[in-house]
Amino acid sequence: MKLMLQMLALILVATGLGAAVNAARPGRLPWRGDWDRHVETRALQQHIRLAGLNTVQRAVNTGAPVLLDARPAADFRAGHLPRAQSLPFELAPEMLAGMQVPLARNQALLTYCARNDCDEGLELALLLRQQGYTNVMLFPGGLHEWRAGGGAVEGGL
Amino acid sequence: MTTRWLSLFSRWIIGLVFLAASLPKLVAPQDMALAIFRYHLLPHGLVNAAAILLPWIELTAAVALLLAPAYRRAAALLLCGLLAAFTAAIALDLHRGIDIACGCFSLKPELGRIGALSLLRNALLLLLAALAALAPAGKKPCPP
Repeated sequence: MKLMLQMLALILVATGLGAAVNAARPGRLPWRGDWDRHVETRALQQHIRLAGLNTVQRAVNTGAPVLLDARPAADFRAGHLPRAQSLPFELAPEMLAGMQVPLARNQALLTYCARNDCDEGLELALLLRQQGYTNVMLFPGGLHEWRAGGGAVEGGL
Repeated sequence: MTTRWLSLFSRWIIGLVFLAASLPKLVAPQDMALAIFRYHLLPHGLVNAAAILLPWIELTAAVALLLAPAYRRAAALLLCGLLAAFTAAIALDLHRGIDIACGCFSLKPELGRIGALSLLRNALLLLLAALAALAPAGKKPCPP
């Protein structure tokens, strides 16, 4: 009983400290975050699989899965993941119809955009699945997470 | 006597490990929240609260383990509980095929991906925390 009370006391002290420091912090974290609308939540709700850096590294090394950059073409030219192909979300329906980006329906595809607060990567993944591509994944961290991990970038200056 | 020294050794290792683990999380609660969210195990309404409180629970328990003899066992048991929960979370996500950063000692997504090694490390830490909990509260180890 004494042990339980001591554990409770430690938790209460930690809670008080955490709440006080968070309240005093300039960029304080709200107690409830809007994670329901986060791109990763939406992807999982739509049954789009999420890829991490290990999978992306494999794609960069081997070309499988095929990396598809969903950002506008100008952003792609400024710098993109090695081996990635540009398939801007807005132009994707025409480009796929015109076979400008030849992809097999059962090919493993991995879409991405700038970082985890953009949604072109998810929108492109959903569009591809709607068009009959059966093996589509999303890299939610995007170019930002790849760069942060020290990954090389192709294109740009 | 051996048990006492083992317990002392375990206490310092666990205390220092949790001190080190709590600091990057205290500095960047937003990154901590994202790391917790990416496990996709907690209800979304609890993600931020966990990000705010967990590092402080780690820090408080670590400090109590090292510096407050009367609270040593309680702190060690609390850390055992945390380690068990973290290990279960990693095991569940490995089972679900989710490839994420551990968020254990660094919040950088590129560091410390979860895997068999993180499970092994946590099992070892859990053993040390259990040993630390064995020491009678408030007593110093016997001299050699």
